Amino acid sequence: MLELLYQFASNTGFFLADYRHYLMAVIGCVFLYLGTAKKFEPLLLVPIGFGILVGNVPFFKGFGLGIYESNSVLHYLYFGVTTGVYPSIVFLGLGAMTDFSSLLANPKLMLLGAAAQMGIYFTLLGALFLGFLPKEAASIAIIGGADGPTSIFLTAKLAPHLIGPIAIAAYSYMALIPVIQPPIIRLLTTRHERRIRMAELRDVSLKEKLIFPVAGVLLCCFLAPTALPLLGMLFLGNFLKECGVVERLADTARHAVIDTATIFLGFTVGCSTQADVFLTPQSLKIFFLGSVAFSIATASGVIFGKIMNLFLRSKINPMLGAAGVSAVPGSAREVHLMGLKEDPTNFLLMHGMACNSSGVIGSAVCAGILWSFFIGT
Amino acid sequence: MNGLENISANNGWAISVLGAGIVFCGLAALSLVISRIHKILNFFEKRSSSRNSEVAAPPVRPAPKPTQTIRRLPEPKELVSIYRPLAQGLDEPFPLALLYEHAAKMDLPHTHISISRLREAGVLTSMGEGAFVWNNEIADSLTT
Repeated sequence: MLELLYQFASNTGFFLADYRHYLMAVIGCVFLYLGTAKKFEPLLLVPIGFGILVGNVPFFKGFGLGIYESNSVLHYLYFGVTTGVYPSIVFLGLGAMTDFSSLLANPKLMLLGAAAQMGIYFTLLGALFLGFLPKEAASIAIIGGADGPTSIFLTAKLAPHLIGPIAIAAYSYMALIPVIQPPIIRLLTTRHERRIRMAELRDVSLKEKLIFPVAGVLLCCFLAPTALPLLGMLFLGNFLKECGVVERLADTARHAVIDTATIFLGFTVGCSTQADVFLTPQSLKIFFLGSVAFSIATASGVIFGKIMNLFLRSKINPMLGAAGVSAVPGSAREVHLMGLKEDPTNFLLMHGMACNSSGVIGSAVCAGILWSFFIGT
Repeated sequence: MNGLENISANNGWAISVLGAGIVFCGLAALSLVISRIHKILNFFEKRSSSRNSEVAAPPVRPAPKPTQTIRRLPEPKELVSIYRPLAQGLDEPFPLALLYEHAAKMDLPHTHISISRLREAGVLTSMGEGAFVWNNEIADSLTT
């Protein structure tokens, strides 16, 4: 009987755990705390945080329990991550939620979305400098797009062994927008610039809204066909929303479909952070590079906004450049709140959303471009 | 291998410059396309409407007499009698936008000018912060 008890005890998590498991459990709890108490991107941090807890319960290898064991339930759920299925589904829902009117009314804001992607390419250089392999460097660099699904999609294609740390870094920095972006914006802009008012947006016709997803998918995917799984779904979702004849489908895409994909994406990404594969010096480097990527992306958007003002008659608020990263709607909201602090009657939210949505398109195009550079290498 | 050597060996400089250039050109092209969409649509709409009017216009028939009379702006006295029931239906103080909305729903003519005249006459008195009340004394003095 004692032998049986000892056998049972030796199979428990308490017996098998070491300090790394406890450390990861603490990290999972921090995510849950940030998501629930601080309300930092709760839709992402809650499933990821819980996934970190589940993924770091120690167990005997070979029982078919862990996410990296080929016959486990978690492994099958993780299939959606490693194949890039969940990110594509999330993009479908995102398209069905996004109103591109503000972007259509002021298309020059799309350039801020393009400028904010510069963080990706600076980080690529940084990752290569630190000794990462080219495919790993490209996967790390995409964190600068501040787009979780895009980061996961590209990493799944180029460096699947890094999905855990890259996804956690990408989502963490998205959640930390209120902490990271304001100091950079304040550093690069004057009070006068932060108070610049944007011209009122014109009304956008339904025809324009219908033509945009068609033109967008053709132009962007002809340019970078590898972005098709993301942009194809994004623009399909948007067409479903705008065409008005498939309201049921659009409604399902923006609610049930994206919610289901988000739960499984967040949870399995959290589970993939098993202590033995996650707590490595490489992960620390990835976190460092991720913060650099996000900061450079924010700064390059703001600086480009200032450069645009040198040539424009009707000035734009350079803070909007920070919303060019594709963290929807966090960065647009942050810019809006900063604008309100400087001038309580200056509403920048819709303009910020225009930059945000162009950032989504931009980071997906960047992912496609990077993937196409490394196809066959 | 790491450092600048790793960047050069893996074509990092070229990938970065080219990648940044491509994404910038791509989004600039998309921005250009979407900035033209409404202009192109307007052009086609104008063309089709002018064509329709050409087809619809009878060649020798005289122009039909206007069937809809031009609605004149009522006198202040009439304005008071038209807008009094609307204003009294609102909880005071009310925002002017709400009065505009109600007037537009009733299909009243020249709502903006009418309300502006009522303001100038003092019938609509500002209470600050965009809120207004109906001043019965001035309204009565206008109607008597």
